[in-house]
Amino acid sequence: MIGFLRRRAVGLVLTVWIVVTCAFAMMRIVPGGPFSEERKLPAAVLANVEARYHLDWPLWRQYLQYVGPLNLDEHGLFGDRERVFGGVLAGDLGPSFRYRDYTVNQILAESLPLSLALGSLALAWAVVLGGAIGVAAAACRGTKLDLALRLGAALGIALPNFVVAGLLVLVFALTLGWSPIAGSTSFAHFVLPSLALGAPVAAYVARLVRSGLVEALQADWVRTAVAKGLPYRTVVLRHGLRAGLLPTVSYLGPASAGVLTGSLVIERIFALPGAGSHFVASALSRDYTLALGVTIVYSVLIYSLNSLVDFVYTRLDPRIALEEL
Amino acid sequence: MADDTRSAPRDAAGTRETPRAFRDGLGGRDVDALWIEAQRERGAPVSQRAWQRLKRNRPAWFAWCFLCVVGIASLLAPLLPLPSPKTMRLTDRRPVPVWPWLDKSKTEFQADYWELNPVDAALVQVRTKLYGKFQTGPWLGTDARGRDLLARIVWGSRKSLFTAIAAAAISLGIGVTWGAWAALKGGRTDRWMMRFVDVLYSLPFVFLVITALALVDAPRANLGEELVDRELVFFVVLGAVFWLTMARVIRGQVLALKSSDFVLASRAMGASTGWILRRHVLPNVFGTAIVYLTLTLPSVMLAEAFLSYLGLGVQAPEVSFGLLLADGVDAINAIHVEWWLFAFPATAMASVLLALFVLGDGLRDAFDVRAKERTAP
Repeated sequence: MIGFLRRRAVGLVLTVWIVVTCAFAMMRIVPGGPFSEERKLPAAVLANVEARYHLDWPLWRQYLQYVGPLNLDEHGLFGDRERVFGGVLAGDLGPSFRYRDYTVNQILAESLPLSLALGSLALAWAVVLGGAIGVAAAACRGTKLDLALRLGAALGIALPNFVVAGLLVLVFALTLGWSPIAGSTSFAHFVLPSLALGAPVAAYVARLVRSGLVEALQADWVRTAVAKGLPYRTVVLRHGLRAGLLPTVSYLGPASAGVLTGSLVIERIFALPGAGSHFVASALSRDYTLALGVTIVYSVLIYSLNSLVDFVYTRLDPRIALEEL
Repeated sequence: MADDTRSAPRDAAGTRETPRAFRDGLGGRDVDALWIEAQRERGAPVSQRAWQRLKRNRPAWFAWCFLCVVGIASLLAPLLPLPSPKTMRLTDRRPVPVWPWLDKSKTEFQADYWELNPVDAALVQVRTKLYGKFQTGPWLGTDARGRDLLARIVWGSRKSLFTAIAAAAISLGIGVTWGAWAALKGGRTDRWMMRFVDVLYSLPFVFLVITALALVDAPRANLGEELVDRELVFFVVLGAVFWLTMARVIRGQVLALKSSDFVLASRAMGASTGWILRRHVLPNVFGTAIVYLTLTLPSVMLAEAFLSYLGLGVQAPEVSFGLLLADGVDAINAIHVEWWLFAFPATAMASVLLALFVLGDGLRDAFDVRAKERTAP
């Protein structure tokens, strides 16, 4: 267990480092900078602003300063003796280029909790509802109910989430008036957005649970369980589901990283100040530090969730040993 | 795999060369007799049998037919007697959907489109010759600017389907090459190639797309001229983002094939790696690739819708499902609801994607050799 955690920690650091390097390179290869707007800044002002953000430094030095193995500040290599590490290594994601007077840490601290809360809510109901639909469909395989549930699940995948959001607003907010239309002041405001955000996940979960369970129910140990006289419900839930959940679990790892970091479309429709919009806006406006910041958050989430998936695998399938992962 | 009996190496003249070691290993039995026996055992090709299984699968077959109809309709969109999807008709009254037989409006066709490619332009000319000024009425209503919704849906499906097919083909090309190469090379090459895929997986999708689009867009904006076709860039970017899953799946398949008996036998008989790749690996990966292709198409279409909704994808006055749905979502507001702007494009896109999912499932069952054993009593 400790070995597993240690290996994963090393892997996390390595992956995040590679991702940061790749994203840094990609951002800098793209022409245009955070200050190249329609209205050109006067040359002197531009030079001052760039100097403020160290954009006039050579790239390698900007990179080192951002990642921060040595604290490269204005004072040079050994200027500030109090800290050896700076930058990302010290947890400092730097100042935002677009939101003046804000650091990336502040922006993320304001927007990420909302996205995480909304995403957890969406994931929770997606797993519960999707799982229930999947089990029901697999348990009555080949019947009309199975067909209807599968069609419903496919529809959930086939519609873009902004369409689902529009439909939910139309029905529950505008026509029935059960829910507020937009905003983020009470729990009721989160119900519709989480439904729209979770709909495709629920549909995928339902599909995967169904196919995984159908496969598992044909296995030998299930036949044994039936043969020794266990009730069908126990066989399905205890023996079948445990093995049949494996594909769902491995899907949920990366999927929940996407859901937890928020969706621009959902946030725009429901007027929520979440983190999802930063993913698009920062890359579009070349807000280098913010774009790298959200990328780091995303890759950390992805890696940790994938490790969690591997851990859950060993719990679900006794043939997989933690030591081998 | 039943068609592996075909796999003894043959030279150009069609005669079979038998390596000495192989002949000796047979213990003096007649190779030609074995070959004839193998020919007799040989079944129909995998793809042919899969096709027959697909035909027996009612929902999948229905989905395939539906997709064919949609594909032909969108392919022939310029030839249909539809109004131009760009012509605006600004009146005080918003035309709501009408039944075709109650349609009293007599509007005249105007050939005003965006900059069409030569093929489309020629098709539009043929259409003008065929029907003259005739055009269908606003059967599905019109949008806020008075553009005919039916025409926009047909042209939008054309755009979305073309984008999806082009991007999926690119993702297929990169994914199969990358995955097969990594698996066949093995060792360190394999590890590094797959590590690269993992890194791309951990980068957010929007970030990749926006950076790639900006990379190709920027020189155009500066020079103010068309260096690269924007549509082409869009296809390539989408394809370049969606090959990751394909590469993983194909790699897994090729790894399994690499150690299978028939590949080992072929290698023992002295076949080259290229020959094994062409003759054994690629045909056997074909089924999986097709299945994942039909599952990539919906994701590409959804991504196109998402990007167009953000204004990064297809640009007006051209039209795609994404743009139509974005208009539709905007049409839902507290003041008055123009339901048709939402309902018809959403139905169109959902039915195409549903058909693709059903077809993908059907193809997976059809190519899955074990499926036959499962359904057998």
